[in-house]
Formats: sequence, structure tokens, C-alpha cells
Amino acid sequence: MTKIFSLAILTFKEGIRHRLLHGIGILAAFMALLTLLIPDLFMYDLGKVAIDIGLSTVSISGLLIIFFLAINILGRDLDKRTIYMVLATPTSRGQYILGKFAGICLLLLVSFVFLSLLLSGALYAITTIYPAHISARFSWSTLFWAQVFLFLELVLVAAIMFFFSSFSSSLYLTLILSGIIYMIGTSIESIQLALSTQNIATPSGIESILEIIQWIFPNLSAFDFKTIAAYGLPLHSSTLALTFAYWFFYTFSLLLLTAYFFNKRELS
Amino acid sequence: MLSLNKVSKTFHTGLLSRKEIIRDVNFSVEAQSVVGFLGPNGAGKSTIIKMIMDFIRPSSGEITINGCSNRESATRAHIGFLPEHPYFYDNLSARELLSFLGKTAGMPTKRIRQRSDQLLERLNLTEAANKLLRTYSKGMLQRAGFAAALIHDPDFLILDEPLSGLDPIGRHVIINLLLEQKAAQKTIFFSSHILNDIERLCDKTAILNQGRLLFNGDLESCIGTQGSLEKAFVAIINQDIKNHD
Repeated sequence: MTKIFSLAILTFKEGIRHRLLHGIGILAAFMALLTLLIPDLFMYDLGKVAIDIGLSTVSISGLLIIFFLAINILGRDLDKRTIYMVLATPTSRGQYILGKFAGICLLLLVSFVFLSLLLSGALYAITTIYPAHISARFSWSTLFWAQVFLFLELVLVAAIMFFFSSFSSSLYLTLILSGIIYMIGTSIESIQLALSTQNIATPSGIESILEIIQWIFPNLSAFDFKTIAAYGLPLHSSTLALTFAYWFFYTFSLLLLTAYFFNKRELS
Repeated sequence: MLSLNKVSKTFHTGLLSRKEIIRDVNFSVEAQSVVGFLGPNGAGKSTIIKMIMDFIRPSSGEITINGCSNRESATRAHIGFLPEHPYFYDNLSARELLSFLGKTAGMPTKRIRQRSDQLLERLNLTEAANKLLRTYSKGMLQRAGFAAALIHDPDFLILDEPLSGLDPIGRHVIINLLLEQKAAQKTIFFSSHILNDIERLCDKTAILNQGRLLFNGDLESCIGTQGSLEKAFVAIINQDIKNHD
């Protein structure tokens, strides 16, 4: 456990001092400012607009951290062979994966808390300045849970990235494959919904293929509670519990597979 | 202490083509000995060192350290390793690096601090101890790598070209440290192209050419009647080339 913890702290330190993170931080701060300014252009549903922009900012910043910073940190370890320094100690490859993953998650968490505080501050300012234009159903608690599950979604995306980097020999391949899975994961539910509710003519068997895809690929839209938070709709604890169980199972399985493939990998 | 038993390694060079880089290598490194690992460029020295460290796996044969398979991570608890081109995390300082390595080796915090101070001073890195490693020169990185290999006071040092990229002062410091380790009866296995260093530091040598082990034994018996290690080395390699022409 000490080895995993030490490696997580090492990864976190490496990430927090990375110039890329500073760039992402500036971009996020700029977008948080937009959260304050853009609602000025709307005359109604200010809370909804602000929540939409705010949560999207947090989500985009988290994705940038995973797709650029985390891939860079992990890829450099393999490309530059800094991994030799870690694996020359009595650290197993499984511990290496867990330590690195925990470090990236810690980096995501700290960035996420910082961004969420910015978002909450911007929202608080809007609710104070324009109380008449905020929906009566707006709930801080729903917003909190929406952010928690947005964070879990980012952790799952990080696990997908780790999975591909466990056997991919190129940083770009890892980036492309993770990006494709992210796009499939966020859109598969909408496609299925569109096919079932609208009368769209589709070739035979397409629904079965979509069904199989939904079982294999992660359904990332399950973690998206932006609309619920924006409209202040009720969020049931059973939905949260089921989504959490799904997240835990998927992330845990991915990490197991990552450790398995990484253990077989040649680090030449 | 270290034993390689019929170790071979084959790499894919294309979709269907393969090349055998290491062929049936058998040798052992006894405890408290200093073994110089010699061979021309591309002989397979770094490949063997990577296999010993379990970064890559043999296609056949087995490697054991103190009787246990090198696949077990615990076998590396008493090994200090320096790769050929040491790369570290750019955004960490040398002190943070040593602290991390000390912790993974299970050292208490106070001991890590003492040992880090001691090593950084010996390796002329005290002033740069808190600077980020990305600001270090090549020689400084090599010395930081040496500190990293020695932080947990290992019994067994595996060093891939430990004296490359060093200025004369750096070489002097590292050679003295290696001599100290030898006097402390530590086991050292290192590869080098600099034959003078092998003659000065080692009591045994292993010579590799095109993945085949040509010699493994006492330095004196290797030199034999040739008068110097350089002459003996050239003669052994030329003989091997002639045999396989």
C-alpha cells in the first residue's frame, strides 16, 4: 500500500507542476468567467444556462487533463523509460498501474474541486444578482450530485485511457482509441433512444448491434445529470446507487484488465 | 546470487520475421564479486540487463536472483539499478526522487533524509538537491541516477554503462563510490565499453558477442598471456567472428 501511495503522490506532484495543467487552469478560469457573463445575454432560465456552461466547463477541463496531461505523463513513462526507475524497486507492475491511476485521480480530484468551487461561486453570484430569473426548483444538492457523477465519469474515462495504454505502443493510438470510446459512450444511449422513439428506417440487425455495443462499451451518458441539475428535476437515490454500482464494476474491471495486459507487456 | 540459465531472446523484426538477439546464455554472478560485462555495440548487453530487471522477458530459459525467479518484485528489494540513459520525472527534485525511492524500499523517513544528504553530498549535488531534474545536465542526471541506485544501500548493484556521459570529476567521484561499494563487499555487475575501468574495478568479466557468451571467469584468466584486457578482448571477439564466418 505504501508503494501505491508513494507512486500516487509522485504522479500527482509531476502532474500539478506540469505546464499543461497551468494552461488548462487558465482556460477553465476564463470559461468560469464566461459563466458569469453569458447569462447576461439571456432573459430567462439563467440558472439553467449557468449550470449548463459551468458543468460543461468542468467536464471539458477534466477531459483535457485526461486526454493531454494524463496521457502525456503515462506515455512519457513508457517512451522515456522513466518507468525503469519505478520498476527497478520492489514495485510490481500491478502496483505501478494502481499507483499511477490513483495519482491521476488525485490530480483530477484537486482540479475538479477547484473548478467546482469556481462554478459554485459563479452560480451563487447569479442567484444573488438575478433571484427572479432562477427556477424555484433549483437545488444545490442536485447540483452537487451532478458534479460527483461527472467526476466519476472522468475517472472512468481515465481508466479507459489506462486500459489502452497498457498494450498500445503509441501515445496517439491511446489518445485516438480513448477518444473514440468516449464518443461512443456519450452518444450510444441517445442513438438508441432516437431509434426507439422516432420512426427511423434502419437496416435489419442494427438494433441488435447497438444492443451489443451498449453492453461492451461504457454508457457514459448514464453519469450525465446536467439536465436534471439545470432544470432542478428530482434525483432518486436508487438512480445514484445503481449508477455508482455500474461505475464501480466497469472501472474495477478495466483496471484488472489493464494490470493483466501491462504485466504481459515488454518494456524494451 | 544472480543466475541465467539457458536464456534466449527473440524479437520480431517484421510481420513474419524474427531475430534471435540472445542465444542460450548461461552465467552466474557470485555474491560479493565485481563483474564487468563487456561486448561490442549491439552484442546484447543491455538486453540481458533488461531481462535481469524483468523489463523484458526471455523467450526461453530462466533468470533467478538469490534462488527466486526475477519475475517476483520482492527480488528487487536489495538491487540498486542504473539504466544506460537515466531518465527521471522532470518536475521532481533530486531530493523528492530519493524520498520516493526510499519509501518504496521501506526505509524510515529519518533514514531517507540522512542517506539522501550523504549521497547528494558525495555526488556533488547538494546545491542542486531541490532544483527540478529537468534543469540538470547529462552528467548531473547520471550522478542523480547513481544516488537513486544507492539510496536503499543495496547488496547488489546492476549498472548499465555507469560511467558514460560523465566529466572527469564526475568519473572520479563515481569510481571512488564503486571502489567503496567493492570494499564493503557489495556485489556489482556492470556493463562498460571502457576497458580500463573494468580492469581497475572488476575481479571477474563476462564477454558477449552477437548474443553469445564467449567468456565468463576471472579477469586474470581472461587477460592470460595477452598482457592487457584490450588485447584479450579483441582476440576473443576476432576469434568468434572467424568461427562464425
